[in-house]
Amino acid sequence: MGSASLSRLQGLFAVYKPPGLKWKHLRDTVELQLLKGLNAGKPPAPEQRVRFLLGPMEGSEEKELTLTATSVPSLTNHPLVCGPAFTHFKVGVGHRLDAQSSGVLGVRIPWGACQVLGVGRGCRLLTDMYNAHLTKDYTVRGLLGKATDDFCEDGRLVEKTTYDHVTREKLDRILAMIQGSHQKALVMYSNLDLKTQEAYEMAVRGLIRPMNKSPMLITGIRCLHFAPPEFLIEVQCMHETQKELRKLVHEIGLELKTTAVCSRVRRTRDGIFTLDSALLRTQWDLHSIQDAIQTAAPRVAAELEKSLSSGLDTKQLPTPG
Amino acid sequence: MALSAPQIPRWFNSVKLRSLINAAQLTKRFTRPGRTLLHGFSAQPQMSPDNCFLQWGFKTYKTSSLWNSSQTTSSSSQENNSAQSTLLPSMNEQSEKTQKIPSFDSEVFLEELDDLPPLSPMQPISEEEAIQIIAAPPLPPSSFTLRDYVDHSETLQKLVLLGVDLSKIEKHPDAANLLLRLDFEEDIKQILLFLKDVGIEDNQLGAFLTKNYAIFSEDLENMKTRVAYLHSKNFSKADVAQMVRKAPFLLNFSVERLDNRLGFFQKELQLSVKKTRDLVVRLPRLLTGSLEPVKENMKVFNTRLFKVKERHLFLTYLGRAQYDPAKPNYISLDKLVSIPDEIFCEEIAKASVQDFEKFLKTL
Repeated sequence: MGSASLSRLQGLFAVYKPPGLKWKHLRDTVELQLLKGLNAGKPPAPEQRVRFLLGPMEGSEEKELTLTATSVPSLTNHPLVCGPAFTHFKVGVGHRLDAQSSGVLGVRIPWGACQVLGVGRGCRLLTDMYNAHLTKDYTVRGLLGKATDDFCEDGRLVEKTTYDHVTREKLDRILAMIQGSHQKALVMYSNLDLKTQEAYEMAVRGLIRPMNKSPMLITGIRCLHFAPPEFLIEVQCMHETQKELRKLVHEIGLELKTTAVCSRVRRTRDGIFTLDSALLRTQWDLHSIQDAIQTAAPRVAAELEKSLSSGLDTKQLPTPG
Repeated sequence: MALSAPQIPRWFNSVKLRSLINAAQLTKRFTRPGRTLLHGFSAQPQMSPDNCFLQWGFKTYKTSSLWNSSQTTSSSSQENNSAQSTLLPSMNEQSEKTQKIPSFDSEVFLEELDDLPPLSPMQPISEEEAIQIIAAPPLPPSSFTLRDYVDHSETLQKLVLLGVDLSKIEKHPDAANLLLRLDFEEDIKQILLFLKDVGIEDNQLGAFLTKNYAIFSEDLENMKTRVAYLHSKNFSKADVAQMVRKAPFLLNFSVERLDNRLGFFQKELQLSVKKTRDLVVRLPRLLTGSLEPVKENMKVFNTRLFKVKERHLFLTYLGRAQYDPAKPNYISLDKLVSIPDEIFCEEIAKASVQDFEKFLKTL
């Protein structure tokens, strides 16, 4: 234990958040598990300190006193006296997921996360890259036929409608319309003058991204499955909140001249992390997290590399593959 | 007599703000440091101003203790006692005796001070005397951690060897003060022997004392009465041992309080005497905790809830969720929760762990 294992703990990894868990509790649990693992190392060898003791000198007839140096065990650094070595660990969550949603959640452990380290330049590059507006993939399930106040299935019922007239073609048409309007918004929020050659080239390659704050922007949306009253859509978006995704389902219902509520929001990709690399709740311990960070490190570095070297407007990022 | 800055001993400057004594005592002691010394010195006019640091050091400890005894009648702060342990061996017997007595015997001290001759650093001394000077750095008079005192206090050392977690106790300043003032042989040993008698094993003592350090300020006779009361209510010795282990504060409750609480549970839950006894033996924290519904260990419940939910959903997905004992392929509910993941997957769900994990990622 020590600085070697700590240095392997800096970086990014992803967890799978089950539905019903608040992201803050998830963050706290990950921190607790990491501290547990770090503090479980073998205790240091018992320390000694030197004391000079008065005692009669050997081989003397009179009572002559002399000082002898002896090593006496010292308890000052005993773990039961000092407490655990690590008490606090900085763990950050990238893009939050609300309690009812589930899915891939990127977690960031910055340099200098641990109290013991203290020293360590904040890795601004990592932070910037992570906030660098990579898109996320969601699978959203909707239910036709009712409308509630918070767009969730268990909210207060507002309206019930029929949905027999809804067909797959109508749904696809609506989704294409949504994608088209969001494409326009993309260009608008990225503050690019489309009349320039560079902007045209970027648009051709699909690299236009707004770097500043913007409302939710959908870069891709399609229907995966349609079996009334249920339908499943896949959404690729950025700057979103899960509530807006649910509102999107509600609006799709309205466009279809019926109503819809959202029964599930599940994130399948967060930036470069997909479902395969996400750690399940049973795997939230020190070793699995260290392995996950090590495995993800080359991909993260590659992504960083790409973003730095993309020339032109260096902040624009390509869509992750 | 003017006091120049270098003569003000180091320990005045090393006072840490977060000290173990309460703020009132602290301000009283240190607002007028000059006065403290002067007060002491007025008693011995023959002291020469240039004392060597050591002599100065322990005299000021004593003078401050004199001052303290005249100011505070309650038991003096632990700094004095810990400071005195670094004094020359001749003074140690004095300090041992005075650990219990709240007010010092000022006359004895004054006599001792008169006997010691004044020394100047330029004065040549014999080898014998040179050896006998202990120049160890003085203990800090107040500190926020017990680490500074653990090497000088036998009590603390023995507690650490027993397994008591001092880092948790030092977060409660009163507790830390108490432990420093107690003597292992006299107070603590009796209580430990009593606890062993009740039935707590050696290796469990550490955990118990870390939670309930206040037991040292309880009266031994009272605690024996409480144990006798529990025996009279037909709790066996093993039962009492288990209850005390699980709820360390149990023995701090008076007999009437215990009686009230047992009666409360019996009435509210309308259980028979035997059932109340079983309940209390299994969950003694009901007796010591607050009597409102306790949301204790939300996290534990949440984890259990998640596990049950996940497993149930997996079984439903596989079509194996059969909870009716009459039908075949019945799965008992406690098996659903208690067994570990691998066994659950293999035997009950008849699927592989990877399949279970894949399913979990689709939730």
